[in-house]
Amino acid sequence: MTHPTPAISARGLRKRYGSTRALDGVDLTVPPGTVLGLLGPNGAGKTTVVRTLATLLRPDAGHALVAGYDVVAQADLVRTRIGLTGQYASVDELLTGRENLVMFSRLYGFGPREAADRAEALLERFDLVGAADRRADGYSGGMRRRLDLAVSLVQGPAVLFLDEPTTGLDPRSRLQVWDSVRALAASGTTVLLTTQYMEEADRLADSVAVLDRGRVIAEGTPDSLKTRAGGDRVDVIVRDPADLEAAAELLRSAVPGAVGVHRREQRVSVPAGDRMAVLTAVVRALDGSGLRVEDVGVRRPSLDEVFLALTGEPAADRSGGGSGNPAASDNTLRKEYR
Amino acid sequence: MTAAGLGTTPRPTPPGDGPPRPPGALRGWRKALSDTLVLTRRNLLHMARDPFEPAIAITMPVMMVLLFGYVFGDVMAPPGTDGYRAFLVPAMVAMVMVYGVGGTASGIARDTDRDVMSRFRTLPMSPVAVLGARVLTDMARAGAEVAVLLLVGLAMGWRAEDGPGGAAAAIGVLLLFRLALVWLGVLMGLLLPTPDAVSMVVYPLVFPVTMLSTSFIPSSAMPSWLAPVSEWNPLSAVVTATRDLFGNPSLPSDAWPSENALLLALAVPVLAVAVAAPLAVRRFRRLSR
Repeated sequence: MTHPTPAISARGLRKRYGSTRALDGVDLTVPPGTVLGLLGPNGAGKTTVVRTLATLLRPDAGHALVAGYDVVAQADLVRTRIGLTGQYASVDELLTGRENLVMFSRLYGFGPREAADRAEALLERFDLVGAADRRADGYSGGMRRRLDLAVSLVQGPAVLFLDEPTTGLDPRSRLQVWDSVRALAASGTTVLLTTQYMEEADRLADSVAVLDRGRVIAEGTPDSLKTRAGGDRVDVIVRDPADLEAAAELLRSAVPGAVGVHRREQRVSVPAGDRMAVLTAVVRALDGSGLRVEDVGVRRPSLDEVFLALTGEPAADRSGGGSGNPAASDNTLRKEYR
Repeated sequence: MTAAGLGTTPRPTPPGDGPPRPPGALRGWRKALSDTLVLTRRNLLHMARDPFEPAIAITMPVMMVLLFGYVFGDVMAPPGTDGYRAFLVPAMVAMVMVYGVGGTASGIARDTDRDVMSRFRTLPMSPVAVLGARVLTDMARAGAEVAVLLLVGLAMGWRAEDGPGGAAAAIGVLLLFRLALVWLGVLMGLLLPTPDAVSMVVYPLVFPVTMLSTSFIPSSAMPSWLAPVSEWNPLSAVVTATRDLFGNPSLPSDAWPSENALLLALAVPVLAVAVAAPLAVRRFRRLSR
């Protein structure tokens, strides 16, 4: 089978703000109908990538095609094929949910009746019917994000950009957004989402690109990245530090793989390729061993651990620090936009 | 239409016949007009939902007309006329048109400062619609302001002495003047970095313009080096032309700008729009990119 035309392909994207390089040669390829998670700490350049691909910023160098069109030379055509949900819910705060959806439908080129129908359908789909005629500035964070997502779907985009879609949301709203993203991907929409959470990328993305200081430093499936970061682990936390060695010995005999002992956290840790099998084996071994255990659980590597594995340094202080990328922080971007 | 073959870099073939458009989608200037009207409706809804600013904007000039009309009273009347208030009203309306620049500039600065503007820029929307909607909204406001001020004037004893034809022409001159100022305000709002900067910069610029005119004081009463400045001030031409068209008393002057007030009151705003509008559109397109 030949490769289908990618929904997003970027080559050598560069963008400078003063002396800082927000993007330092970004390459990305996203096949149609898939979800790419763009993972990175604050200031890595995630938002700059999204704004460039969504025709909001002009790259200094490199080029990118979205839905087959060039984001600079054919920005107008790109705009007929994309939807964007920003990190900050960008709906009109003084308008009601319904008025927002009707206005954006009209601006996408639908007639008044069609716009009203689309608004109604989206209000239902995103569970906003009850709040449809209230002003958006009175919405909760979760409702606002749902309205934002609904607006970005008005034209049925081929490519959807979600810039940190769940940042600041409570767990329930986060799950709702995740469900929506999954449903969209299942219906064939290509999604590029940025996130700081390994878990989010893991749950939603077919593939993940890790961004650091304006460059993609790793690409692959969530599983392959986790493997590079040591993969999933089962952790056992003992109540008495004196039991650490005994617990480690017990685990060594119960499951394959190198057992890590973390004295300060009173934690013993084993790799868990097959999460449930390893967890079961560990619990069985502990049961009746007489060891007093505080906690047992499966843990996924965090973004920090992925970063540590990939770069040899922690993910922190990418924004603001001397070696970081202060210009790529969102405040600066917003100023730049003005 | 397809976009294949544009540009120089090799690229995959765009899908099919280009992007699917909504059924019956508008194109070209029709889409631009439709977008402008959709956004004008949005601006009007904003005014209705957040009426504080427009309410202040109309209260101030009404207060000024009343203060000028009754406090200064007849001491400012030009020699040989007896209706100071008749003399005052056209000048006050013109002055309010000038002060509208601040509202327009901060309006457009707020428009482009909001997060929602990012989203507008990702839509297949006419790039002039945001500016067009601001212009339409502020012209609607200007129409309301002129109406309110003239009604207050009527209550104070001002009359359009030359009949409805002259009055309509006078109102036309005032609104044309305002149109030029709206475009200047749009340009200023796009050039200044924040809405706060707008209010700091615009009013100190506007105040001398309203004072250095023959709206209230004849140029013969000013120092000789200052008199031409105020005679050539476009506001003076607008006020003089408006007074003539309303049939209201005017300040005596034989300066060329005063003799040809109507010509200037039409030509200068048209010229200003011709310069400011393209600059504003260009500036708007370049924002952020």
